Formats: sequence, C-alpha cells, structure tokens
Amino acid sequence: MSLLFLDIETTGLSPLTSSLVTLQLMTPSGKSLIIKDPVSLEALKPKLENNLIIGHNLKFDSKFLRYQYGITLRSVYDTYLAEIAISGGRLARRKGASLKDLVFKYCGVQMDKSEQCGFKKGVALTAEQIKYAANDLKYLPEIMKQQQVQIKRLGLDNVIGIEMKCLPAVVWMELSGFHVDLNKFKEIKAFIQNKYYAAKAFLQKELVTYDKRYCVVDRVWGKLSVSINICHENKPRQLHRTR
Amino acid sequence: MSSLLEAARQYLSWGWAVIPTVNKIPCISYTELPHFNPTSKDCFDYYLKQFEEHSEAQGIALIVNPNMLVLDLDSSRTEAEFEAITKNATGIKTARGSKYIFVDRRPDLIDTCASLRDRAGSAKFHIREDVEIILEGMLCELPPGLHPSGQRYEWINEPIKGFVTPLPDVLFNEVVRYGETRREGKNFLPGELERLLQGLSEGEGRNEAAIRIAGHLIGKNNNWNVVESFLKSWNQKNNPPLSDNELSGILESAHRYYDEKQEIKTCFSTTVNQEALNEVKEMTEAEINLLKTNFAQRKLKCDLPDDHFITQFVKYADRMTDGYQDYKILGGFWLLSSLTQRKPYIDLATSADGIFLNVWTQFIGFSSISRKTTVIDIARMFFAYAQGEPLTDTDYSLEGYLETLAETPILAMINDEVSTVFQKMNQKYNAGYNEFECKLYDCNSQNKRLASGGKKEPKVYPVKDPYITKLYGTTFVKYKRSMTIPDFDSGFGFRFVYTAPTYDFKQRPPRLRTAEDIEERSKMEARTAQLFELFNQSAPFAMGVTPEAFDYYIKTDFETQNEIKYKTNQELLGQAWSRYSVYILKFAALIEIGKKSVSRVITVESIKIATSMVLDYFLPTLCDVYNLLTVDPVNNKIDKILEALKDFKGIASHSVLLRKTRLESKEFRSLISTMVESDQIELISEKNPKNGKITTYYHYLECDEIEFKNPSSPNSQIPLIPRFTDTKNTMGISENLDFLKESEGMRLDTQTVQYKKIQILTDSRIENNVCESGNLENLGISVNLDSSTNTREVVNEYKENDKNTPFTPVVCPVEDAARILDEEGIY
Repeated sequence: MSLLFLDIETTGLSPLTSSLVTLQLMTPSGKSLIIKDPVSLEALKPKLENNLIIGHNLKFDSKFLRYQYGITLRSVYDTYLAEIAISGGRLARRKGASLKDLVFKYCGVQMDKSEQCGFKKGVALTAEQIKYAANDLKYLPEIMKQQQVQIKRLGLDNVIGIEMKCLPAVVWMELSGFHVDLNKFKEIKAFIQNKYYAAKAFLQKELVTYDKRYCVVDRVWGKLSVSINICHENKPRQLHRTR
Repeated sequence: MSSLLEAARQYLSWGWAVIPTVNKIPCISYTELPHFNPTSKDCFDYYLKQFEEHSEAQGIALIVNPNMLVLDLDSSRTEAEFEAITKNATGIKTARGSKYIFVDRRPDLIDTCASLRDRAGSAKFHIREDVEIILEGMLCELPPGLHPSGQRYEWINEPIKGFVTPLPDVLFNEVVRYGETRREGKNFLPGELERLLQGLSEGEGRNEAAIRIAGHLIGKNNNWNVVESFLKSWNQKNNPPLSDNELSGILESAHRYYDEKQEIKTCFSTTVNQEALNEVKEMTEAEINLLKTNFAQRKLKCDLPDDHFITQFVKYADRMTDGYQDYKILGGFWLLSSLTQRKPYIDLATSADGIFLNVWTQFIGFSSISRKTTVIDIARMFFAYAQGEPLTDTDYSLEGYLETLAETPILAMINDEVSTVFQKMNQKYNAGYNEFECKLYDCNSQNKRLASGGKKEPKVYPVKDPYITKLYGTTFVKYKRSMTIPDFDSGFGFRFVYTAPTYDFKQRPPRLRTAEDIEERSKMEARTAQLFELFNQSAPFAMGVTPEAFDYYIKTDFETQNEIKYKTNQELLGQAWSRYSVYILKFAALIEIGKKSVSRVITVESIKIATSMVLDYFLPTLCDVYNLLTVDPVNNKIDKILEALKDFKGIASHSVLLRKTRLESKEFRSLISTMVESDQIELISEKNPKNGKITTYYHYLECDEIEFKNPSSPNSQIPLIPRFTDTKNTMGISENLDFLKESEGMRLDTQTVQYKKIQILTDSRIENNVCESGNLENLGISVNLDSSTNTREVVNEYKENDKNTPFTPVVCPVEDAARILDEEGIY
C-alpha cells in the first residue's frame, strides 16, 4: 500500500447534480497529475481503492467518485476530520478547519483560493488554474506530518483511526439515503393536516367571536377570515394576552 | 483631514489596511496594530478611529497585504520598458516622479515571497537596479496623502473595489530569479554590493541597503564593533546621509540579529569546530515536548500464552495493583524459578554440574509510586503458600547466612529494601561475602570457613547443593549508596537481572478486595502449590534443547560477542554477557516449565523470547544501573549537568539548566561545549513564533545506552504482546480475559523498538514521530517500517523533491496518469 494525495474540482457542491471537472493526484515523490473532464476512471480505480488516500474533506471527494465513477475510497486520511479531532471538536461545523486555514496554521502560508470557482467543464484550464489545482495538494504532506505529531501528543490515535474508518460508511449512507414507506407517510401527513385545519378553523372562529377588529370579509367569496397570520408562533399568544 | 478620512473609509471597505502618517512616518506604533481582518467590524472601526484621533495626519499609508505586491519603478527607462504595464496598471504617481504599481501576488510566488521575508527583517528588495519590490507588511503611501515636498500622491489608475492588475510574466520571472539568488545564499546580485557601497541618494533605499549590508557583515562573522563603524562610515557616503535616529534604529535591529547569532555561537568555545555549530537543530515547542516523552521508555515485554504461569501471575498482579509491568513479569519468573527447587538443569558441557534455573532479580524504582513492595509481596505470598511456611525478609550476616544455608541449601531470598543488606555485605567483618555469593549463584557445593579471630577453632559450614533465588527491591538513591563498583568487579552485580523502569504509567486508586479477587488468588495458589509439589517430588532432570533452539542460542551468543568487541565499554559488557548469555537459557527453560503442561524441552520459540528479553531489556538496563554507580554529580560537573538533564526528562533550556546546576555561566558553557563535542548532548533551538525569540535547548543523547542486534528476523518471530488493561472494579476477570483474547496486541516488536531508538538519535523528531504515532496502523493499514513506502520516507522524499525541482503539475488523460502511477510503484 502506498500513499496518494487527492483533490478534485467540481462545478458545484452536490454529487447528484454537479460534475467533476478535474481530479488531481500527487504521488509520494511529488509528481502532480491533473486529469481534466474524465469520462471514466476505470484505469485509476484499483489505485484509488487499494492505496491510502490523503486529502482534505475527503467525504466530498468520495461522494463524487462513488456516485459518478463507482469508485470507493477505502483507506483514507482526511486532514479535515483529523483537525476537528485535534481541536477536540471545537472546529466541527465552524470556520477554522478549511484547507486555507490549515495551510496557514501548519505551513505559515496564505493560500489564494480565488480560482476555486472558475473551473468549468469542457473549458481548458488556464495556467493559473493548473497551478491552483496542484497547489491544493502541495501542502498536504506537511499538514499530515504535523497533525501526526499532535495526534500522538494528544493520544488520539484510536479516535483518528475510528473516524477514518467511518468515512467510507458515511459516504455510502449519505448517497444511499434511507427507505421511506410512502403510503404510510401520506397517511400520517393527511392525519396531521386534518388536525391542523381543524385547529385553524377553531382559532379563526374564536378570534372573530371575541374581537371584531380581526374580522375581515373576503371580497371575492364573502367569507369571514382573520386579518393576521395565525400560524405565526407569536401572534396567537399576543391575541391571547389582549383577550 | 476629512478627505483622508473618506479615503481611509474607502480603502478599508476594499479590505486594505491603512494608517495615518506624517511626513511618511506612521502616527501609531507598528507593533500596536491588530491583525487586519477586513471582514471584522471591530478591526474596521479600529483603523478608522486612528484617522479620527490623529488629526495632524497628512498622509495615508497602506500596509501591504499578503495577496499583493507593490513595485516601485524608479527611472523613466523602466517606465518606458514597462509602459504596457504602467499604462493600464493600478498604480500611483509619487512626488519624485516614480511610480508605485500595485499588482496581484500570484499563488506560485507564495514560496518566493515567504523565503524572501524569512531572510531579512525588511521586506523591500531591489530586484533590479531600478525596480524595487515591496512585500507584505511594508508601508506604502496612498493618495490623497501629502508628500513632505508638498505634492500630493495621485492615482494613475485607481483600483476598482480594491482589485489590482495581475503581475506581468516579465516581472514574475524577475521576482522568481531574484528569490532563487537569495535562496542560494547570495545576498546581492552581481555588482549590487559594489553599487550600494558607493553610497545612495534619497529614495534609492538607503534604509534597506543599510540593513542588508549590516546583515551581510554579521553573516561573515564580523565583530559588532566592525559592523557598527563600517555602517557609520558608509552612511557618510549617502546623499544625504541617514539621520542619526534612523541609523541608530537600524543598528539596534541589526544588533538584535547579531545577538541571536552570538547566543548560539557562544555556547561553543573557540575550539568547537564549525560542524558542531551547524548541528543546532531547529524545532518547535511541540517537537521539544515530544523528546521528553521519548526518554526512558524501555519496557520489559514477554508475550506468552494466556494459560502460561507467567501470564497468569502478571494478570493477577495487574488485577491487584497498578505499578510497572516489568516488576510483575520478573516477579513471576522469580516465583517460577524458586518453585523448581534445583531439579531441572541444562546440561551444558562447559558447566560442572549443569546450569540450574535460579534467577536473581533486583527491582530498582522510585519509592512508593513504583509499587515494588506490592509486587514482591504478591510473589512472596504465593511462594509461602506453596511451601507451607512464611517467607520472611532476608537480613543475614555472613555467619547467619551460612548457618541457614547449612540447614536449608535451597533458599528463596526476598527483601523489598535490600540496601541495608548490601551495606552490611560491604563491612569489613563480612569480607568475602560477595565472592561467596558468586559461588552460591553457580549452585556449587562448598565448605565455607569463617575466621574466628584467633580465639577459637575456625568454624566450617558445609553448604551442599545450594540453590538460591533472590528477589530484591530498592530505590535508585539507596542502591547507589549501598552498591559500589567493586561489587560489580567481584561479579556479584552481574549475577542479577535488573529492572529499573522510569516511564509514566497510569495509576489506579486503591480498592477493596472482592470475591473474584479471592477466587483468582486461590486458582493461582493451587497452581503454584501444584508446581512446588511436582518439583519437590521429582528427581533432578536435564532439560532438553531442540537443535534449532540450540543453533539459535549459539548464533546469538557468537554475534553478541563479536558486537561487544567493538563497543566502547567492552570490559563491562564482556563480564555482563558471560552471565547474561546463561540467563537466556534459564529464562527459556522457565518459559517451558511455566507452560500449562510443563515442558522439559527448550524450543526455539521460548529461546527467542528469552533472547529478546535479555538483549533488548536486561543487558541495556544493566548498563544503565552500572552507569548509575559511575556517575558522580558532586565532584564531576559534566555528570552534574547530565543528572540535571535527566531530571528534566532529558531536555532542558539553557536558562533552566543553568539555574538547576548552579554553575558559573562561563564554566557551564565550556562544559556544554565539551559535551556537544563528545556527542553526549545535542543543541536544539526553538524560535518563538510570537516574538521571534530563540531559546537554546540541550538534549541528552543517551549515548551510553547499549543497543544490540537481535538475530531475530526483522519481521519479528516474537508473537504480539498482549496489552493488559487496567482492571477496573466493575470489570470482572472473565471480561478481562475476553478482552485479552480479542486484543490484537501491540505491533511493535523489539526490533522495531530498537530501530526507532536509533532513529530518535539520528533523525528529526517530527519525522520519526510519523512512524511512531502508529495511527496509520490504526487505520487498518500495516505500514512496514522497512519498506520504501512508509510515511516518513514518503514525506522526506516529497520534501527533497520539492526542494530540488520546481512544482510542475502535468495535465494528462486517465491512462497516462495510471501509467505514471505504475512507474512510481503505486498499483
């Protein structure tokens, strides 16, 4: 088993609707390869599935590769997950663990991410884009190396191990979704809706009875209704206080 | 002022940090400035407030941000050459007619800019005679500020919402080339130094030139007086010369740089060669802390099946007390050895009566916390149960000892504080005690005659077929007080196997005895009594040795002897090995005897485990114990420093160590110099990322530690070592057993440990640690440390590659990528 550093550029965030524009790989010896608009990645499949893939936020990359090319990244080291674990969870769902942040933290370099959104399918890469794409991988070895020190220092070996092993399963679950009994779902929906309408009708009736200010007559149908949004959580409460 | 305020507001909204100036001098101290974060409202307000507070301000200066470069194009020639750039470029016209062009710093210039900044405090460089590049953090005047001459700065092309034009390729190449020249250690372009030395006019960068010249002179190891006087005389050539204030500011910052260099240099006397100076390693605080944990980590490991006597003993001891595993394993061996009662022996041709399996063990450890006595008491309890009578501490005079031996030549001796016994043995009236003990160790019968002092007939004590096992414990300090080098010279000290662990272990609070404890104890008692009875009733028998096991033993013996020949402490090791090679056979035989069904044949597996125990643990520990006696921190100042370093877990900063040792600074430095030259310690420097202050650390290299090659194959024939978990109150022994069955054990075999120790001494810690953290293994990926694909090497390789060749990505189709990966050996 060898190491491969991986990153992808895409046209959007969803693997279901967006496309993969480039796949960047870097070998342990520093060779950087960029594959533009790949139709099939069959030739690379064994390499990606049988080696340790290192990248930042690999869940994103894994989902694209699995959904669009049928490739499952089995052994991964995700610098994003590792950083969250190192921070004791403080960085989970917060700013501070992006690749840019880690490059600055561990390498002291400010990354320019201005090219991030410029990747288009079918459009040749500019020199800047090529450099940007490769640059995303350039700092990963250093980040990983320094994270290893932290992991060792904090005794997080097992935690990181579990996190990384979980990632392929999470990818699978997020892409697969879960089974829903649609008939039962509709049944429950109808039941709740009926209760909602009954409650709404009752409230309307009560309001009109007790306070004529809220009573308006529908110009078209001539029906009575209330002039306020009774679905708003605060309004009925206000009315109740007024009463 | 209102126009300045308006302009400032606009610049800040673009994400440009600006501050007020008067005559190009900032109104606020540069160090007071917060880190500029354009999205933060507080930051925005802070900068804007500066303009409101400093109504005297005439100018407005930009703090060049990291994503921007400013080019100062000086002469008209340049302007003509770069007309295409200046025509559409975002830039300003200065009062002198030169132009500041603001360009976007391309991502591929990150490294160049970073390396330029690292080399000097200044971030302004003449990449050509007439082109100056201004980097992140420097100040640059902006319109509508007023130049001291009275003219206003004007935009040639104003940036739209802060966006600046890209850096043209022509200039990009110039910057990269300049960066490379600087990286090669050449501070000046060809002819540049000569030009600077002739003196400069105003606006030609006199400040920057002064700093560079000072740095250049300091770099050439010039004395500070030389640097100072040279700069003063050079300044006179400038037109006009820099003011005294400016020059003294430059001298002050240059002097700081000079001091930093001196701080490292003065650690060495003039006799220290330049190589040693170059060996100062730079590390971060985290790496330095890591070194601390890597010190004194030797652990005794002995992997045996779950139903083995030793495993059962360790498990019981582990259940009853925390404390070092090393004690528990060795205590188990002592118990087993005592139970055999001179019955099994190894019939080596070289020994007269064969080699009996008596083991002399010595626990050394810190008082109380290491739990020596607890483990000794557990072993004592089981042996007392087995033999049916209590086993008391031995505290004999020679005469009393002889009397006891004459009555009971098979004796299990136990003492949890043996220092007083050792002290007695060294008294004059006990002369010859040590030598007598050595003979007892060999289990030879003898008649010992004690001198009577001329009053009576001398007494003769016949000691027939003795078999003595010893389980002793003491602390480091007491051991040092009670044992001497002559005790080792007589061979007495070499007959013991030592365990002296100092690593940190997880302590557990005391608890009450449970029914399960009693159940486990009775099981262990039954097994101990069974073994005692077995050997008690058995006739003496010779242990068999399989041919493979014997070959292995001979090979180990031969190779270790050869290795010892080339060691510096050859005599010590030679003496030790003559006893310890026999210990391999003894331990191997005990391992066989401790099996569930007692085996009478030594197999290759047991001899491999025994070899590993002796070579990887007992022999190095013996050397440590011996060194403990030779160290004299009172009279020998180097020893004093080394002892102090050990107190700080092997690494300490200059000031801390100086304070601890209470030596004179001059003397201390000279001692440090000697120790660096003799490779006893190494120097490590740490740069504080906040204030840039450099701290020097000294790291004890453990150069006296003995490392032996184990003839076992690199892939370790030694089975995995079970990890004994901390037994909690809530956890029954059966659960614990289940855990042991399921646990994969540690993958680190003894060879790997040795390999890593060597790496610790030779490699950078951080890289070494990538291997050591083992987290890749936790990922379920076995990374072979010997193969070419381990992370450390991969990272090294990558870094080397990065240094030597530019970072050139290749755009290629999938098939080509697969082929390239195949060529790289990635399948």
